[in-house]
Amino acid sequence: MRPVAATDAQLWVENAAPTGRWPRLRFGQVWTNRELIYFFALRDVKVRYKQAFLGAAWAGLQPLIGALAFTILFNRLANVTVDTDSYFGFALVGFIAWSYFSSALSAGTNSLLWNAELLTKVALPRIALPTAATLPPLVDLAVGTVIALVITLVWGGGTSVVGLVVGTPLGVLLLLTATAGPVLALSALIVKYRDVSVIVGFGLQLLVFLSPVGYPPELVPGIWYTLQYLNPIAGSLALLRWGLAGTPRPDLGLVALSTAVAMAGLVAGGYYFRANERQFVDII
Amino acid sequence: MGSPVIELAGVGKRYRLGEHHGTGTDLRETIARAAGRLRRRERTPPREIWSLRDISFTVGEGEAIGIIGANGAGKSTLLKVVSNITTPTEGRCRTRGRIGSLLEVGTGFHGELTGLENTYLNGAILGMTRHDVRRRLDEIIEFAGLADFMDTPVKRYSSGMYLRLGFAIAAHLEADILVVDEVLAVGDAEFQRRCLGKMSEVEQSGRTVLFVSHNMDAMARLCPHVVWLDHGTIRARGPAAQIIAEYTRTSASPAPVATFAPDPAAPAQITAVALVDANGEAQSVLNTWTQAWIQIDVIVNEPVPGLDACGLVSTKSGASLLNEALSDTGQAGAFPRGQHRWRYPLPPIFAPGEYVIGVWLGTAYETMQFDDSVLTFFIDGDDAGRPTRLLRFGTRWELDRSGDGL
Repeated sequence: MRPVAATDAQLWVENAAPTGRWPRLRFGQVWTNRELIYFFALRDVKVRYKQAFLGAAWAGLQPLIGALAFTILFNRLANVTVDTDSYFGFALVGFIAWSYFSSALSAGTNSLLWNAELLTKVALPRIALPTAATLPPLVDLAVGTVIALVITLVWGGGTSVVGLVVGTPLGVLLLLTATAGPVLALSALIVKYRDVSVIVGFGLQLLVFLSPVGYPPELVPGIWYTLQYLNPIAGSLALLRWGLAGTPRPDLGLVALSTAVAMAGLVAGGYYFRANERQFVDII
Repeated sequence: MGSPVIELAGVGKRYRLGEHHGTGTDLRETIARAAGRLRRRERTPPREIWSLRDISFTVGEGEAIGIIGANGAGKSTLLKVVSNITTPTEGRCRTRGRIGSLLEVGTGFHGELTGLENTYLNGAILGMTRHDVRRRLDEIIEFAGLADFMDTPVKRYSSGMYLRLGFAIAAHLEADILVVDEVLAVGDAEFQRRCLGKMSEVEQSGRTVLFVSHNMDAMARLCPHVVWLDHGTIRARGPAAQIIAEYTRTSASPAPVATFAPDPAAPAQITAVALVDANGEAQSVLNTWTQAWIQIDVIVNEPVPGLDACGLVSTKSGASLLNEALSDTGQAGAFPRGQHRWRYPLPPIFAPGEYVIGVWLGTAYETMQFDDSVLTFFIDGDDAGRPTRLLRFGTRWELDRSGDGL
């Protein structure tokens, strides 16, 4: 797209009619435009907490209430048990990860639409907008992670060091990958079809019960137990709970299955985005 | 001309018309269309419009090129193609160097953020690094004149402050190619003057400028060369003064000629009034330097002794600026029967703005016809920061070095 440094001044930048060739993914653009992405993300974080009475306290309060609801529903009423001491801690990890996925997906899906004016007036790398939209919910995820860890260490049975050091970052990485693919595809799709926002809202409501967010994956019987890891959220949750809720190390094959699906989703979403981004301005 | 930095080769841009741009922003519509195709039904071809067609030109380093043309001629689309915002449907556009495109001032400001926060955000959007912005921050604040308001959310800004900050950021973008669209149409006179000043500064610093404006005065001063777009194609290209003159002559809407229903009973009557140029063509938009005439057609059915006429020019609010009679110069008299055409040369003294022409016919004893607003006309141009001024003469000051001559 545009040159980013003065040293590129000698290079020709071409804006030519589409050739119909397969687009390139150019994910490197995310890195070269990291400052722009940072400022977009910073804007959303700042705007969110300005003029809010409780401010950042919401980031801690929400998961506590959410996890409490899951614990009452599944543990107390349905008598579901988990492989760790505190169901509350287990549900809390599920809630914070799901909150990240659901907020990032909603914000990411709408990112191009909400910045339509910008898109039609400035030549910015379009991929910066959906990418930036997935960052602000990381603040809540970070706050939630600390709370979950404290709860597990103080009220739960503690956690393994390996799980904490290896499982947690890998779980977050898988969660980000699993989110990015759908965000890229949906943000491009909503430019054409506004129906997407309805579908995403409804889909998220369904998916929270189809993913092992409030209940353990072991609750799902037979072949379905394995198949649920086709949903990368399941793999991410298994890793995160290993690190933060003190559950045993997850089956690596299942985590690999989730990772493969997430990566495939990212590549597919990326291609869909790249194939369509040139016409965003004309139809948004 | 320096080595080329912008090259357009056969650029065309097609838009689909219709509610959903023909691509179907509604899932239902797309499904219905797909179903229609399955049943081998004839598809109605989407209506299309070529906003640009076969545009080829080159801009050299350090050149300032103006783009003129009527609304819908494709000027903005052209700038969007050059700025890499939209993709051409055919042909290609190549640019070399960093492009700063100012298609709108303050795009991307967020009302909840402070002036300072928005400066960094907007800078990043325009392609500046955090380091660039920090280095030029003092200059930006100084240029915008908002030192005391940088910690105030921009939603509390007046529209003028908002524009000033937006332009200040954009003006300090170190671009090799500056693409500017009608930014100067907004804001007060003072703001416009600063924008123009900054732009000529940019131009003089050897950077390339592509400029779209309806302000022909500013255009003529900033851009030595002009490209005239007409319905998406290049109609003419050349020296600014020549192309602008041709453009204003042909593009002004067919200027109205005021006519009056003939009254055979009247001994004398004005039948038509027009503002005409040197070619005798009616005009309603003039440049500050154009010579024009108030032309009055009079029919005399019966000679009237001492027949006199007046041409009037007043402001829209009714202040009379000119009221020139034939009798002022001893030209009133008993004109013979028949058609007469009287022309009063309008001195080129009017400042840019809208004015009203009036006419009067009569004798020293009676008013036969009087209408103080027959036509309106515009003087096109830049008010040079003095918006309330009505007249300008441009006569030279006489300068004396130390008062010796007194």
